[in-house]
Amino acid sequence: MYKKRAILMLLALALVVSLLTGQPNEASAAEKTLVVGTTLPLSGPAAGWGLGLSRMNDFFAEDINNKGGLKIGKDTYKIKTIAYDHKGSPSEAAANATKLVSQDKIQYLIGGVIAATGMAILPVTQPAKVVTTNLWWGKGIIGPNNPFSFRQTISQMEIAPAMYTWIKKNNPNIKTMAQINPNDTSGWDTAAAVREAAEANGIQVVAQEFFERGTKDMYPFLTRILAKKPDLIDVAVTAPGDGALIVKQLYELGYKGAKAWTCGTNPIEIIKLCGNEAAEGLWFAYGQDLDGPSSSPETRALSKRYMEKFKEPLAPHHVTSYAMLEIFTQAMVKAGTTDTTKVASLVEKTKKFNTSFGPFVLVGKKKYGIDRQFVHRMMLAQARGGKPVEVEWLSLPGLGLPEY
Amino acid sequence: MEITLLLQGGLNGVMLGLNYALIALGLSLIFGIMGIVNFAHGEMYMLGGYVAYFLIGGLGLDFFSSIIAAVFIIGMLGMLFEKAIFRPLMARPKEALTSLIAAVGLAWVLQMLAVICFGDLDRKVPSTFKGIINMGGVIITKERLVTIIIGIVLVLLLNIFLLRSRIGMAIRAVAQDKEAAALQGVKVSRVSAISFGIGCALAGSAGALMSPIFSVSPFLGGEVILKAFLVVILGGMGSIPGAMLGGLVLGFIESFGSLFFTVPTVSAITFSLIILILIIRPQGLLGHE
Repeated sequence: MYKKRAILMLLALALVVSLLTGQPNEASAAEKTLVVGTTLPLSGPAAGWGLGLSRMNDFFAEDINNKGGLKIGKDTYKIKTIAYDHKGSPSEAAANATKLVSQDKIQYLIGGVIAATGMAILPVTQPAKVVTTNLWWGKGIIGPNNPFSFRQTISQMEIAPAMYTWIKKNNPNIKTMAQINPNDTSGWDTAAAVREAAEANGIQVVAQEFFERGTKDMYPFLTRILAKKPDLIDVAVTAPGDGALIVKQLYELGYKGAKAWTCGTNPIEIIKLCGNEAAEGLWFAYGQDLDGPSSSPETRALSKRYMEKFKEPLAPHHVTSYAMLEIFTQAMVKAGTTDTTKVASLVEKTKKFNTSFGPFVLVGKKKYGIDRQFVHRMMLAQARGGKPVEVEWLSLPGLGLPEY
Repeated sequence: MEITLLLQGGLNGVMLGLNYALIALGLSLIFGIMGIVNFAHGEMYMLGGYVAYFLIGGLGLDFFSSIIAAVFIIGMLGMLFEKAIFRPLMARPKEALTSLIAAVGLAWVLQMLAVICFGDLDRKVPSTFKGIINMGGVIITKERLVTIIIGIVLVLLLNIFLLRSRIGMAIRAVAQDKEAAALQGVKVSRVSAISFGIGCALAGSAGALMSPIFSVSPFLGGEVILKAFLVVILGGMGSIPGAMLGGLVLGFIESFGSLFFTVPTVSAITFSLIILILIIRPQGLLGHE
């Protein structure tokens, strides 16, 4: 009887202790989750930019979780991804960012496009010390006032000088140009960067047009631009759907000069939308063939996997989200914490990284006042016979790129 | 300024105006008969585009068959929506507000269904008429020329139908006075269903017509509906000739304006002119008090 009572007492004590202390450490470590959030245009005219970025976060989470998770300090983390659609609207982007920070408790927001949405998101993420890595191409996105904001791909400020140096060197007959951009922050900032780069290379800007996103019939303003007889027309930062219509309608109106898409990010999709004849000769700065020998085996594998799953081609800028997650999770493992201040500081000190997409370098101190701009290789391609054909790696002077 | 540039501007204006008019005609017809501000009208345009995309690109049918199919399919769909959604709502109090909200809801549902079924990305519809006609520097593609001709034919057919056919006369009677028409033996509910169907069919045909020139995406409707409302208000709410005139006026303002000014300036000029016109004629160009 006494023995039975003692056993019952011990069992009760064990139960109380386990309730008070919770689960053992090993079990709790196994259940930890790193929530990676994003808010992107997942519908609307800019969905082509957003969907791929969001899917790259999912691919990365899948890969890490299949390997058993990330060992950060004593804990093992599984990755959970959350993506909210902002449709390209700054107000929806701000609302989504608030939800991600306050409700979903994210520490890392990976991937973002359209500068106006970035300007709406940063006032929410910066005070909460949430690291954002993004493709928001505009002034004021990275700088000492936004220490948690990293730009994950080369912006128009870097592409335009590289592109126009190449154009002038290889096409000295181009003396004048016109540029067409959307009428918003991305468009205005890109127009300034393109104008500066073109004029620095002795190319005169004879026309500069801003149109409303979603416009279908571009004939009216294209007629005026063509009357100025530019040697080159650049659709700069125009979204794939809109830009493809411009290129098609330029062809219809008889334009036979040079064409560039300085920030054209998905050449295969763009050529398909423009039509082979209209796209012929079009230059893209983001022209890397993700299935070709210029891409790493890891990138080729990602491209194949993406095509098999979504029946759509992967674009080079999409892969930068995968690369960002590699860079930041490696830093978390090294720092032994997910704390964003410590991780951001470690990334800043590390500077050079090897990723599935190739080498990345963190620069920007001189231009932006803080090292928050990631630089990677950029392949210039040209549409030839309905396909993007790689021409050569663009030279990105003064950015401390590794040899390639 | 060169004369060819002005002629090109004029031709661009006809194309733009016809596009606007075709979308606005159906919207105006539905408002005139039923008093419904159909926010889902742009989605009918979008669905018409997808009908062409699948019939031309997928099944290899010709351009003309795809337009006839779009008229039929979208027209039937419109009649279905009228019967299932709008007719019950129009029988209730505060019918204008509830039908407006239902139309907004329907637009969202159709847009999201299109995303689920067709994907988010823009789709290119193969061109049937390739080549360019160059008339001394004034350029038009064969595709656009055919579109302009078909557009004009559609407008003429609509006018003949409304003016000469029995059902057309009934539609006009209901538009003028519902109760008086009912007293004369016109079945108002039947006329409403047919009018809604014709309105949607017009939007669907415009979507199919324009799809090879532009491209189709689930968000096409939202992009065109603002211009369609502008045309309807400018031409006069419920006025069919007004929608036609409003479309052409807007097309010409935008086209000629773009020859001299930047796009944002043209937008400002367009809206200022429309405000001015509405101050002088609040009922629109051809609308009634």
